[in-house]
Amino acid sequence: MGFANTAEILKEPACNLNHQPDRACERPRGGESCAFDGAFIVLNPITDAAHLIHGPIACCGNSYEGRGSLSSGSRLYRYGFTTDMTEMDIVYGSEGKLKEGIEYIVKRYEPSAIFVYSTCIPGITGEDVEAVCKEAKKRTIVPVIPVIAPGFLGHKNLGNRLAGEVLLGRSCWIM
Amino acid sequence: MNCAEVAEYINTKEYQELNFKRETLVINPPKACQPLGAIFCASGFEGTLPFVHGSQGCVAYFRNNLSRHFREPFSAVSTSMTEDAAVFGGMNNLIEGLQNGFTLYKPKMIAISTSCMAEVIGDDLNSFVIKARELGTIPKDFPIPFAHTPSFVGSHINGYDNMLKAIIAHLTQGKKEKKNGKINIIPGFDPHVANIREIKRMLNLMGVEYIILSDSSDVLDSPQNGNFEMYPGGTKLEDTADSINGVATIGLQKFSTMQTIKLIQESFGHEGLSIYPPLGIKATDGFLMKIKRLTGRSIPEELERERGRAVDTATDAHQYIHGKRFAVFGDPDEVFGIVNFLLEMGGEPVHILTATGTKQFGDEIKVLLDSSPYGKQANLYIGKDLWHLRSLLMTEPVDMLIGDSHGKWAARDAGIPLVRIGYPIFDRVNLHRYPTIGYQGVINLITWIANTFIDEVDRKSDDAHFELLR
Repeated sequence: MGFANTAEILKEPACNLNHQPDRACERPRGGESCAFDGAFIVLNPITDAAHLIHGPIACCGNSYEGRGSLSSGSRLYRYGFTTDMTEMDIVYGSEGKLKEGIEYIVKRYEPSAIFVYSTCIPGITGEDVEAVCKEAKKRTIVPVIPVIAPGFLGHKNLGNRLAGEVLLGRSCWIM
Repeated sequence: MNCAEVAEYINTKEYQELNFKRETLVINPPKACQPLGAIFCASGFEGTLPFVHGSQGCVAYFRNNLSRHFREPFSAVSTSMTEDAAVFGGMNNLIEGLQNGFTLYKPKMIAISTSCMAEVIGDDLNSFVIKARELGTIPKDFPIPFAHTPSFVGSHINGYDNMLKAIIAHLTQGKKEKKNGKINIIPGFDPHVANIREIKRMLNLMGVEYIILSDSSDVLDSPQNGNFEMYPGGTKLEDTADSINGVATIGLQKFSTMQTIKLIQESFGHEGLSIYPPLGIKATDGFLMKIKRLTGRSIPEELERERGRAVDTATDAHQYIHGKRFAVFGDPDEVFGIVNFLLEMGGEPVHILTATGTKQFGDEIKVLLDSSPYGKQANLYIGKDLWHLRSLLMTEPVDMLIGDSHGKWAARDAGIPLVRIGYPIFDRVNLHRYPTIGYQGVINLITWIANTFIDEVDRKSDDAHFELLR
């Protein structure tokens, strides 16, 4: 379980376009979105889960309801849940806010799972999103799954991969 | 509770009370962030490259969002900060970014805004830009206005304001000469770019000379002629510099121009005022009379006849709007304008919701609501989200929702139509090409709202009530 770093995840030994099987593909430059976006669009079509974005308004406000899923069942995945971090949250930390947000969703929506996305700002201020999820998990039967893919980690492709690893139940040690 | 019970429970008053007690979580936010407003503003200047210092995902979102709304390419660049920049600071990214942007895209101006990341680590834009000039990366006299636009403060309307203030302050420095006789118009964060064309048309009819500060109409509504133009229009930089010599400045939105208007009042030495958007007949009258007072120009007959046509449109269609109940959400200026228009038509705004309004907005819209018998039932919700709105639509039903595309699920759940005005509109075409302001705007609004009601009647009628005459 676990990876040493992000480069490890990007190794594509079976890919015939990667000419250096022991190393990651060269990082594309520009024109691409970020790791958070990549992770979010991979997981967002899981319809009966709640997707909670922990960060300032940018990450959720610009992206929610952006992706469809041909589901005739739950519509929960479309909801843009966010902690909408403000200045005070950055100064004093917002793990408490996140914890309450998770609890609110569990209580009011009873989702099959909650994906909790960490974005650039909690990433920089060093909030322990994984610990908050772990703690929340103790009080509910709902899986609370941290997706640690802040935008500054890299490009969208990397986010896609990280989300895949999350689905496989592997936590990625990336920092 | 099983699914059906939950579905029923969330429509109850009891749930609404719990929902309004929610503090730590935002569900379906009707707002975007500062840098989105900042690059929208920057795009309205001639040859200007909107440049965001921060992570690249932010800019990917803004471009994609703006392109979906306007259905036009939107060019903007990012300094693409990653982990190393987060640790060591983003100076190298910024300087390299300026060099690349300047060399590859040949702009006349680079307007820098920031995303959260650069703000949290505290990057000093001023010193970075000075450094870039010292290193010779960028010529000494090349204009690089910059604004701090963190997403964790305010929203897109503040980002627009901050960027505009920075651009105007930068370009007008030392340009004070004798008065040019022109009037400056600031459209504000207005996603209906046809409004800018409409303002220009009205001012041309009056023979007024003007400078539009951030004119994105040709940039975000550019002709398809087979050629890609990186910078298809915008306010000329020399005109922007000359705006300091104007006779007055009018902001057509109050809350997305506050800082800029303050700057103008303090340093331009002429009258700077902001009004609510000229939406509705009275508000358009008010706008034109202000222009008349400031410039001494009279209102031409053509505009008077146009006003008459708008009044006629209102008379012809009043029975479809009068007495109907509405919910309105969006940015404060747009909400104020729409409510004003509805009251004029005898429509009754019931739920008025904004995520980006302030206390001042609340006080002012209360005065407006108190001034009309149709405003008596209205309730105001400031700083709330679309999940709150959904509760309201369920417990106190209305006939129509007016707002942006994000309102479509709440409207669907409530079984009412949504008329799309505001930002973003991702699921209808061409609405930004129709003005909502001026007399022409009155005609458009009445057409959209009344016809939507009539469409609903037709769709819901049984055979016995499906009529030719409506």
